[in-house]
Amino acid sequence: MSENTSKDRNDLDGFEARTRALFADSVERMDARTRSRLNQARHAAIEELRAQRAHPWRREWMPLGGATAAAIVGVWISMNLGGPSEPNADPRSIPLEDFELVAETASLELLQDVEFYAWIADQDAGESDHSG
Amino acid sequence: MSATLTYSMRLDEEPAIDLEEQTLDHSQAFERFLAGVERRAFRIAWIVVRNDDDALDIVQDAMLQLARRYGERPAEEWRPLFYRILQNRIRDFQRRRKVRSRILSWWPLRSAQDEEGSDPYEGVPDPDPLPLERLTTEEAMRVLEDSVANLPVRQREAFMLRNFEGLSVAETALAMGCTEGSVKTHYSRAVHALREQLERE
Repeated sequence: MSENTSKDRNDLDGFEARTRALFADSVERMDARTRSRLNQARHAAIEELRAQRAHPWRREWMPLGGATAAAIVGVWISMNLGGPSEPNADPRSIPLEDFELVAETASLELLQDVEFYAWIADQDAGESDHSG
Repeated sequence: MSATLTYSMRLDEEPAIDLEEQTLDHSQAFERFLAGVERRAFRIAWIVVRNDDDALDIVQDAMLQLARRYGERPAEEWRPLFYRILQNRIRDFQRRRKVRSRILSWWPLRSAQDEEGSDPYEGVPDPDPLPLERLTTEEAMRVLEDSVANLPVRQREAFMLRNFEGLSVAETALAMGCTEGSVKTHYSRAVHALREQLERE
């Protein structure tokens, strides 16, 4: 019984060691491009640390940016989108924190996409008005 | 007069030099820390999000947040704090994916386009993964990544932090925001689940 327990423990240890080694190997085999980009990211973080030390007040004001962006995305979507594709869907039912998550994307590409599709919809609507 | 002036200048200057040296030391320690964790952090993020750019964004964001919010904390606290931010960012990313699909499903043109391009079998786990020992290293890692990605969230986090990153139980508890007992339970379940999946004969 205790032999079995000991064998199980050894098997488990062996399995954990194997998965750890596989992961370490995959880290070692990382391509040069990714390493270079991580290097750049690290330098950006170090610059941020230096900037924080030089201007500690920045930390207090930084979170306001995310909340403001979330509010802008939320207001923009609720004001500009047309009818919902699903009868029960309503963008106003999406909580603000969800908009904040979406707004956190650095490029705000979602907002750009939505603007583009809204523009296409306007073009289509304009053409059908003229033809009809 | 001259002696007083020299003395007052030294009084003014010395703290500035000290501060500069301290900043340099602190920055160097911070750089060493990030250089030591960045590749493993990238791999951990990649296993969940499966995209180089997204994983890199998550790691970069975690680094910036650490610098911004905890850069002044003692160096020994950085590792669990960094991994706590990283795990939060990974979870945020997954939530954001879901929210985006909800918002875009409300938008008729985009949702139709997305549906056309999506692969219904994407993300479905391999029903019968091969035992690790029979595979080459790269194949074995791919199978392991798939299996880890399919674990329940808390088990996955505990496994990656304990096994891949080598955090202690206490550090993992801090990184996951739970008790050490929970870490042990999640980790043990994860190891058994993975072993069952991967070592099946």
